[in-house]
Amino acid sequence: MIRKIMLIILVLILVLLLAFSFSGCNLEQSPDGQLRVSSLGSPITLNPLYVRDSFSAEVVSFLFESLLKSNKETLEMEPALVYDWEIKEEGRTYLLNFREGLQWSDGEPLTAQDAAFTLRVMCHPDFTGHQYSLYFHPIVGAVEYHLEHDSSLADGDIQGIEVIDEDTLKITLEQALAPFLSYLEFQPLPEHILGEVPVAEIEGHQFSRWPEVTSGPYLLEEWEVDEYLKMTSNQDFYMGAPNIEEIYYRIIPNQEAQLIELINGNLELIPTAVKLEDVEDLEENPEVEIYSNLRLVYDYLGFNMKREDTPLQEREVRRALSMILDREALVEDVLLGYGEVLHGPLVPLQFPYDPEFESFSPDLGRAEEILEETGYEDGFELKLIVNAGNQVRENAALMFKEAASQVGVEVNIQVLEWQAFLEASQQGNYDLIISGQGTGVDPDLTFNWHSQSPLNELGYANPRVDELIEEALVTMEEEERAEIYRQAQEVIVADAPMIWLYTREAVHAASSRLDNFTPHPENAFYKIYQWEIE
Amino acid sequence: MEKPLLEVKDLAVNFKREEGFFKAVEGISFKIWPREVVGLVGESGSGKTAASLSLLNLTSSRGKVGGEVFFDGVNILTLPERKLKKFRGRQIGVIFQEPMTFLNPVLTIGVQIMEPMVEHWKISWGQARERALYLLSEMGIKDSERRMKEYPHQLSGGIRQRVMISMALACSPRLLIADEPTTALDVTLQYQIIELLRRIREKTPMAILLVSHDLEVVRELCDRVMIMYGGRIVETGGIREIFKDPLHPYTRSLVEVSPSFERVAWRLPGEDAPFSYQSNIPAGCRFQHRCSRVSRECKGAEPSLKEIGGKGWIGNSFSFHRQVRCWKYQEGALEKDEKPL
Amino acid sequence: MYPFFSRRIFHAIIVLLGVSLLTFVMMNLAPGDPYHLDPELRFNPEAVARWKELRQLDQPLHVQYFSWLKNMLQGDFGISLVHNKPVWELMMERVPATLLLTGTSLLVSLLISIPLGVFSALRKGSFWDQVISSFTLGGVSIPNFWLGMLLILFFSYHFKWLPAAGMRTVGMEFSLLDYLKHLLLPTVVLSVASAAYFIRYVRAGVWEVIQQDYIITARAKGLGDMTILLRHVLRNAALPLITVISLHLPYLFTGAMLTEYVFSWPGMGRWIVSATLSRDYPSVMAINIMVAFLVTLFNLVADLLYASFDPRIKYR
Ligand SMILES: Nc1ncnc2c1ncn2[C@@H]1O[C@H](COP(=O)(O)OP(=O)(O)O)[C@@H](O)[C@H]1O
Ligand code: SF4
Ligand SMILES: [Mg+2]
Repeated sequence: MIRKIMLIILVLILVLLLAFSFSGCNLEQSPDGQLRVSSLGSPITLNPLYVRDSFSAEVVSFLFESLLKSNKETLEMEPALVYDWEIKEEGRTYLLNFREGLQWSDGEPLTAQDAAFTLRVMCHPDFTGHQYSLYFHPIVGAVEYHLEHDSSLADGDIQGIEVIDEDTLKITLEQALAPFLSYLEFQPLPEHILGEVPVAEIEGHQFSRWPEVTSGPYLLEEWEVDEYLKMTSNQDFYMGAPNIEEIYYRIIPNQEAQLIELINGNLELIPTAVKLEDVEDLEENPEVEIYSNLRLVYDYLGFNMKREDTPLQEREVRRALSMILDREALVEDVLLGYGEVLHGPLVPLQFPYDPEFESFSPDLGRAEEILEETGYEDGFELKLIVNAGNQVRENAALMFKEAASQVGVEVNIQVLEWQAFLEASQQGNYDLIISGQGTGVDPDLTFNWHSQSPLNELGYANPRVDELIEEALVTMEEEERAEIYRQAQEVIVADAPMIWLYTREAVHAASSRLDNFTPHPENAFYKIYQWEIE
Repeated sequence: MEKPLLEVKDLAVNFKREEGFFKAVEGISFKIWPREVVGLVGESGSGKTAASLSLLNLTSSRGKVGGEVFFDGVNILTLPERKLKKFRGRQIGVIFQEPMTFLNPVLTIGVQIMEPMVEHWKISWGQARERALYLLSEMGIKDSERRMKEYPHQLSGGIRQRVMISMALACSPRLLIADEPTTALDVTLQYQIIELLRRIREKTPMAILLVSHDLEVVRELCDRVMIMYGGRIVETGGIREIFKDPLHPYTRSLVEVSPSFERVAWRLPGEDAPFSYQSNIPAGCRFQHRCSRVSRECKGAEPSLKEIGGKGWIGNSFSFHRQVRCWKYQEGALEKDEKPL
Repeated sequence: MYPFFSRRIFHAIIVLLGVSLLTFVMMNLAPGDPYHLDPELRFNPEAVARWKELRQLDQPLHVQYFSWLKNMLQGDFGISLVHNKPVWELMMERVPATLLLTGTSLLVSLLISIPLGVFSALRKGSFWDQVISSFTLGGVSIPNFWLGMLLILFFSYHFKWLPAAGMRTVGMEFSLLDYLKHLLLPTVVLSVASAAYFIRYVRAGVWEVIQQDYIITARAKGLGDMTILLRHVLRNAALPLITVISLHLPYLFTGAMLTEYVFSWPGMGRWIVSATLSRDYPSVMAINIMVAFLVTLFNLVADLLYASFDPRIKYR
């Protein structure tokens, strides 16, 4: 009897296995006009004003269009919803001309009114995003609105924001602000939907979870939590309906599984961060195409200059420590060449970037000499923090520790979980930190290098640099401005506040069936309406 | 002449143990005629349970049964398990010593009484229920409807044993093996159960093999008795003869210490279980260490089971019914025995 | 029965309160804050203040805790600090996938372990028993993550038989086969350890039961092997198994979290990890309460099942 049962079970298992293997042979190829892209995580919000993570940013870029966009190679601002603009009064006023006949996905016209409304939301006292304080407070009347507006709605007016007519928006600034044009790469919200919603409630509003009314090349059709988002092409998109009809944004946290799904034809694109170790294998696969492009972010090893009584207060010590790491080797060995050594705060693609500019090259002997001259021949100890899970940064930390030990400096590495890392970095509870920095499209150095900036975490302060940064902000002429930034870079690098490690390339893996894939340094889905799938 | 209902030839049970095989039962032969009530008596550990379980090949997987068991002329030990099952519960019912542990704690007693009928007679549970109720009331259980739904732990010891008996009788077997049916009970209950068995005996044409360590219990019910010691039958005979004239020294000691109907765990002088493993079994007579009449020859070879006296009617058969396994009664040994040691 | 219930419910309440308080304290002691997600907010401390104020995070801790407790008692688990969405909704969106995976795995592991365990016990010491025993040794010690990756490599990458990620093929009509194909590997991964674990107990339990006297009785009645096994052996062997299963469920759940990650299964796992990492207090609180609640519930169910299998047990 027992034997009979065992036999039945065995037969059942065999039958099941056979059934699966037969049905398994024809793994589905995607129908034409369908693109499946992978993501490591789910978006949190689909409201462009509250985006704080890359997954939300990616999906928002399908659904919403911005006023302007930066070019993927020159980073210059290019027309989007706004097709033409004028900068007058020596950079104080911006006259933005919207395309005619723009529509929200519900057929309502998309006008300068919506843009003005969105700017008011961002300047509203109840707004909890960062845009006001980073970008828009220089608008005339913005500060007043932010401090004194006493309605919970984003109604009323900001003096410097004038809707001339349906298609024209005039923005007036307190004073010229060179990077301001790049701040206009924001996506407007539909006033006819959100105009009556208190600003404090917009973040948690249904619209932020499921925007019914959008402006981008794709419309949200389905969202299976942590599984996929399905988007269909917007037939009324101002550049014409996108070529690819359907996009599945598949959430696959397991990187290896992403690759296998791509190779098996269940995915057409892995838009970000293909593991470098896998790239070599993939390049041999004729069905897979590898793309890479520089990004506007760099990793650095920063010296904490806020802490008193540490050797890092001394510029010479920092300079010495800047000479010990072989960054070329780091890029070759750890990044497998997918990146470039960086020598200062200006990154490639930004217009002031000077490829000739070089900072310290590795010279252990000189470093040791300097340390002796400054009286640290007996060495000292430093605490280095790095966030867990970033293999490249952890390796960089190890390489630095190794190099430092050769000049008598003992580096104690602390690998911290993300939140603990953020807390330690904010409280300045470290000597050395390995972290990353996004620079943005504009070369403006204010946020990271001005002595008064709250984002200047390392505590770098040099009056000359402050002066140069302020001067550059009001210099509208590009070549002139570039020259100032290069000067500032010289000064900053000479002060050695950090070791610029590298700018990493983004590596994308796509099916060879995908055409016109042209990733932007900040957005893999750049001009997605032009993409095609064979 | 009627044929015996059960004929056992040279039955042996070997238990596999760490130390090796242990012969719990060795070379037992006997017959039971229809309607006969036969006692099997011996102290604890003498192999009574092993012998009675082995009749239906019910010993645990570690016990190997040898010899032949003919039931109604069929050698049931050579039957495949599938066919042997048809005898268990249907032709031969078994009552066990410890009703608490031999009843399944998670099934109602109703189910446990009904299931052999459902199994063997292929009748519905409803039909089986009728008979189960009848059986329970026959056993003197009042309120049998309610009892059917109860679980063993809810019942008293006496009722449990009655349930056991109902279970064994469910399919009206032709032979009932009752392995110490009264041992676990107190004196009054013992008496009741014996009365019950006596009634059953009178009412049904069933034969009974009554296993007990208590000669008194056996005297109440049996026609004939077999005395077991150390896995061997050492004496057989009619119950009255045995009491009147016990031959084997072991039987004699049993009869002597069994003056009344008293349920004290009586003991022989000497150790309790005669042997715990093979190497302890002595050459010669197995009873020698405890025998008051032991002599040199007793240590040499084991005496055989010898017929004593003439033939007589046993059940419906004319046969030797007095047998004893002792050198004192072997051919030509009687005189020697008279000499002092 | 009632006193038993009220005592158990009283215990459960104490446990749940303790869990919630502990979670609350731990979350507040751990470094970090949910608004760290946007480092640029530091540029604007008043926005952070406003952000906290809107979510009542500016209140003293004990006030926060008691208002959380009060809302929870009314069935309101609050709003996620990260997703700005009711925590209850976040949970309900993810529970079904996790239940599907853990439920199937529990079922599969029982379907595997009961026959194998019984077989093993009945044929104790045989060649197949030894094969099964070595499987249980291996099965218990294989890490889910490793096994999952191995299966993906074999069945998805090498043979291309089964998908490597997700719960269904996107963009396809509903198809049961498709679901089963996606379910197969994660279920195997999650079942192996449980099955191995259960087999040991089934084997030991059945072995114990078949030594019992009442099994001799059952055989003496001439019952068929299957009847003996199902009616007499398994019912008794089920008793300890119930306890084992209820104690094992939290492990199954933990295992599911890892398995979900490996197979990109859209269950609770990712949310739990991300909520913890991003210090999404309301989510973490709700998750811990829910898990504690389920564990208590399973224990209660196990006790009741136990009583229904074993008539000797009465709860007072
Ligand atoms: N399952 C078993 N395995 C090993 N030895 C056993 C087993 N059952 C009984 N025995 C041994 O066989 C002998 C006879 O036992 P048993 O038949 O139970 O005696 P009785 O029923 O006369 O008390 C005893 O010595 C006992 O230890
Ligand atoms: S053979 Fe000897 S030892 Fe055995 S019972 Fe007879 S007298 Fe005693
Ligand atoms: Mg016995």
